[in-house]
Amino acid sequence: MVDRKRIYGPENTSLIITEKKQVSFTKRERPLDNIRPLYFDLGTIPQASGSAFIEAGSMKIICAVYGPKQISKNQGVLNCDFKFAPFSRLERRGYAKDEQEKDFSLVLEQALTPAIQLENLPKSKLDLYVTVLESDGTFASLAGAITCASLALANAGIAMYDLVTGCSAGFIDNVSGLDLTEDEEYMAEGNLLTNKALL
Amino acid sequence: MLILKPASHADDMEVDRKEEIVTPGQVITKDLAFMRGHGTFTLNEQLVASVAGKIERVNKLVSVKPLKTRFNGEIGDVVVGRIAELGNKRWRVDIQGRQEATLLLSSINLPGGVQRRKNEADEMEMRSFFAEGDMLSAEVQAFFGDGGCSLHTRSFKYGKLRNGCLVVAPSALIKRSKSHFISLSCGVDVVLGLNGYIWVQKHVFISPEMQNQPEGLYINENDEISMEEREAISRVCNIITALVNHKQMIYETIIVFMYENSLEYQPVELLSADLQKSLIDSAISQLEAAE
Repeated sequence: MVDRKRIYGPENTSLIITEKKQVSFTKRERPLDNIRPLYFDLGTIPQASGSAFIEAGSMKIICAVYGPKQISKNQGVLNCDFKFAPFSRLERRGYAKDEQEKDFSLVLEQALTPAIQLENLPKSKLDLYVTVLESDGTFASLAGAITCASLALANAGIAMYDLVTGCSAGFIDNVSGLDLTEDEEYMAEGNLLTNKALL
Repeated sequence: MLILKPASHADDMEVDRKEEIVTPGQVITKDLAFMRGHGTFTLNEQLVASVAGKIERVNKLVSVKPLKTRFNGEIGDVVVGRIAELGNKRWRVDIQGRQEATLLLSSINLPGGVQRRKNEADEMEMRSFFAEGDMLSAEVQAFFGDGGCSLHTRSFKYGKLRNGCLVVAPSALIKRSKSHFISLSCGVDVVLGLNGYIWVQKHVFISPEMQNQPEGLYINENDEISMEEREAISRVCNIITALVNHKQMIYETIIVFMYENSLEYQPVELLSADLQKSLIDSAISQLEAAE
């Protein structure tokens, strides 16, 4: 199915990619137990019920919450949508959601649902859309998305038990560190994502 | 005197008493003497905030007023709504709340007398009363178990709205007062719906005889509105928009003061932010002087 609205390049193209930097934790400027400095902005999307923007290093993530809106089911429902923008990384991503983004959407839902007082929102649904505008580390993006989504929900005035934060970590050469960037993730032997509410 | 000390989880740092803003999950107090109100919940014998907002304390009742929230009504509230769809012997009304409100067929005045019994013909002709998109004013009669409200228009002052214009405000800015039907001296009526929908219309005089013969309840045509009346309506709309933009509480007195102060300007000039600010400041100082 050819998408007539988009202009595709020539069929045989090759991407110009610079060589990946060889990084190790011992040479990292930021201390191993430090995350990148954070910047938040609330109410970034005025037409949404609540919205938030997070920036950490070069990573930029935006989140919008719409709702509560009426549905026919008796329980309250949270629908999460996670998407890397096509221009968010060095290599262009597709417009359609791929497996990883579908998986991350589920992770978002699992992270946020316990924190929202859904029993106070019967017959209502909340739609949450996270868009990663610029990505510097896949798991760091997911962690930032969780934090950004909590802020957007708080901005929308939705009753919650607590704010949920996310953080990523990984191993390089048997040394562990927090908040890996794209280059560090490439070198890492293992990656971890954690999210916590302070209950 | 009991002092409320918002304390954070991580450390025992005392927060300055002036900072009463809390975020979800923040502990408000460990003192069990307080009762919990809206926006709070108890956890491990502590009172914790569930929304982001300002702490409000009235004697022993502690609640958190969220910075942004949907309309939460009480029984007896006057609301302005828009018909969203027709259902089984009822209408669903959009009132900017979490759920759409319900207006039952048995809760409206039928043409031909208030006491007339409903029959099947009425059900078929529901659209001749209220169709999708119509604006109406109503009162909250009751709540369903899931939190949705049931409206009624059983008094003559409620019903279909016409001859006017809608202004949308956050529901938190509408001040609760004795009457939400305001008549301004310039021939403009304002219906301040507590849900944030405000209807500004041309004043229509209703004689006592008309009240007993409600045939004209559901007509869909506007009356003649002259240029001066249109100008007055748009002036009041712009004043209310100014109050919304500056997050001011909206009620009769401030609208009256601002209207008088704005007469020297054209309605379109009232859309400029600087002029809005100066009009609001002068109205507030007038209000303070009057107290």
